[in-house]
Amino acid sequence: MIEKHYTIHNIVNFTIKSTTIPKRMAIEYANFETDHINRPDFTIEIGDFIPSNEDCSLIDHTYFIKKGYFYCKDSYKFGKWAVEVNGLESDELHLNISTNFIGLYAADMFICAYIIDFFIRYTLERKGYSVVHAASMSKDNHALLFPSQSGAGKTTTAVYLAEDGYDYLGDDFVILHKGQVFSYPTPLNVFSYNLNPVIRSGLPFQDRILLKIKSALYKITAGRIKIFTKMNPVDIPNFNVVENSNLDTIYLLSQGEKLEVTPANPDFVVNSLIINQKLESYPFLKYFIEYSYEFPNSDIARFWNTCEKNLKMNLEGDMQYYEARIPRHYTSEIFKKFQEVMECGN
Amino acid sequence: MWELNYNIHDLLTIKIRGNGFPDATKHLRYSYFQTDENIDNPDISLNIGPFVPSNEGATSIAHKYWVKDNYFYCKEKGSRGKWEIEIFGFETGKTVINFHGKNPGVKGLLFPTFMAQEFLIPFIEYKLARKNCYLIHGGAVCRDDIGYIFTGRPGVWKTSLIMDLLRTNEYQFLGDDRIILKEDGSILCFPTSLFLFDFTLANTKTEQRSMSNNLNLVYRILMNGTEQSPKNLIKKCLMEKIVFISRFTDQNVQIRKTTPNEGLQKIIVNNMAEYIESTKKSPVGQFFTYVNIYSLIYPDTDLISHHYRIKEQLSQLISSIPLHAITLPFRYDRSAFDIVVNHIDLNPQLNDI
Repeated sequence: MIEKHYTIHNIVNFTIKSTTIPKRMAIEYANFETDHINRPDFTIEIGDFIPSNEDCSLIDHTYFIKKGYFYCKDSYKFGKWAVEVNGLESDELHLNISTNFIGLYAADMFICAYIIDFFIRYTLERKGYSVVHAASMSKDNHALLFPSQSGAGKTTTAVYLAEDGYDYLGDDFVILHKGQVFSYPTPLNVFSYNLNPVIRSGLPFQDRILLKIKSALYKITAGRIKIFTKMNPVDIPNFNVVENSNLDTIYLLSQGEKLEVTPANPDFVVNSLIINQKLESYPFLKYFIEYSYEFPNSDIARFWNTCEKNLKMNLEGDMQYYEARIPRHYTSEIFKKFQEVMECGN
Repeated sequence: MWELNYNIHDLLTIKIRGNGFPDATKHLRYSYFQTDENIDNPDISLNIGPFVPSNEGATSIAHKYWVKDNYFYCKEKGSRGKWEIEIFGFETGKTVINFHGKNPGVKGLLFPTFMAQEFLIPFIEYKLARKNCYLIHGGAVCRDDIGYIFTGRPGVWKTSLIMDLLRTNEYQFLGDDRIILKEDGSILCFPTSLFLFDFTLANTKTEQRSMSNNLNLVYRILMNGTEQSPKNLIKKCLMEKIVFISRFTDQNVQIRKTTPNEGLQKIIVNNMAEYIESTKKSPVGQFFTYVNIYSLIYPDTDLISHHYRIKEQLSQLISSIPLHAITLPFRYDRSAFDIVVNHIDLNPQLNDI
């Protein structure tokens, strides 16, 4: 049994126990790995286990729930998993996860994305930090935040800005606390559509071929198999990953016909961030609503209200809010125009 | 091309049109509300079959949703089929839904329009609430004009319990999946798939049908023997009590009182949870996502605050009636049923636990 420890800015500490740490999971959390932590906020054991389903309320023949406890089996596409959570709403959180071959091989897409990432965010929110689905880049300790739905250009914007000497905080998720952005450096998910020249030149020949194969596989299976190429921002030549920075300006990215940057109502942007948090929380959005049915007065039932409160608190201060519409084909010319708008102070 | 008209208690009218494929089971789901009258300007129109979307000028989100004022369109794939949905009148006015999609496998063959018809439920709930009538996820029976609502999450023996109550011939039926609760404290029936319900009631002991039952069912559908006999169905009655059913892995039957606050929360969460799935399976389970995607562009939409609003509107009504919680064991049997019937018969005043 291997035991690996992880820390995120010493705010969240967790331990993963497993006979083998799947390769893609090791890559996913490589930048959080550490030799020693004082006390884990949660521990995760990966492997077959026997759930403690006695005295549980059973919903829809699927969800087993008792105070502080949740168990279910679930699946998506070819990935299957069983998850048991002990110690919900307490400081002794323990997870058991078992998964099939696909779930283990593509651990980043299944048990990381659907379970572990959620508990990192859950723990941060319980400690008053906000986690937002956004890219963030910084220059001279002034951070720009780019929240958006998937596919609106977060990673692309981050990569272009990195090339122009901006420091990297995150391209998918970042942490907000009292007007500051804390980095969340997980690997960039590179696929044929967001493979821009900067990234391509940094890829070894072998990876470029693999990327082509993955893209073909995606087309052949009509979208059933989608394997991203992982690139650790720390390893990309002109990427400078920083720990934290002061939040200055928020550009809500959305899809549009042509590039258009307009001042946005802060409430509109905050609403967008909250909705994004929820929609990025499947399958736990479902698991938590089933738990809330059983325990309507629990912390879990109030979890989304807590997130909303955190976000409003963490965004307090003198920030500027904009909405940036980005065309579907996000070329370097479009980025140049966007950057001009950003740098002339709008 | 076929067309069916529905009238829900003179509160709501619906027209369903099908195009491009035969469906022997199309009328089964909402048969109770079917009317021969041709409805001109229905509150909800559902058009089933291939269509060309009018999503020009709409904002595209995540490359699969399109939103403009009062309009939503999406095309996606779930683990139980794929679908393409266009909705005009998403939040106000008359609603027109264009739906193209199908379930895979036997279910898709037997009930090709099931997925589309199921998608009407959130719209029925939302539109009824605007008339101060609330579509509640739960069943109900009635005796001597006194109605008992049995609510709970799926898979807690609600239907089995209601079927057993009907088998005693002492109770009348209002619905086993959903009912309408009115502001004045009365219940309106909302029976769905009556033919299936009657068939199961007559042929099986619990709500789960065996393989031979299902074959028999298919035979009857093919022979067009789908006329239901709602002999003990009642349209309306007064609500006396709400019973919250849950199912426990190893426990005996327990009965306790529930506080109005807890009861109200459960009723609301029970409705909301039906529109949220853990992973993408069916369109109705994506409804929460659709509403949230729409509110990215239109944050002030009534749709997003719907459940908070009905919570306020129902609070007075819920606090004025007895709320009881019954836990049923993992395996439902006669003895569990007897305890529940006893409880209803004696109608005891329970203490808080």
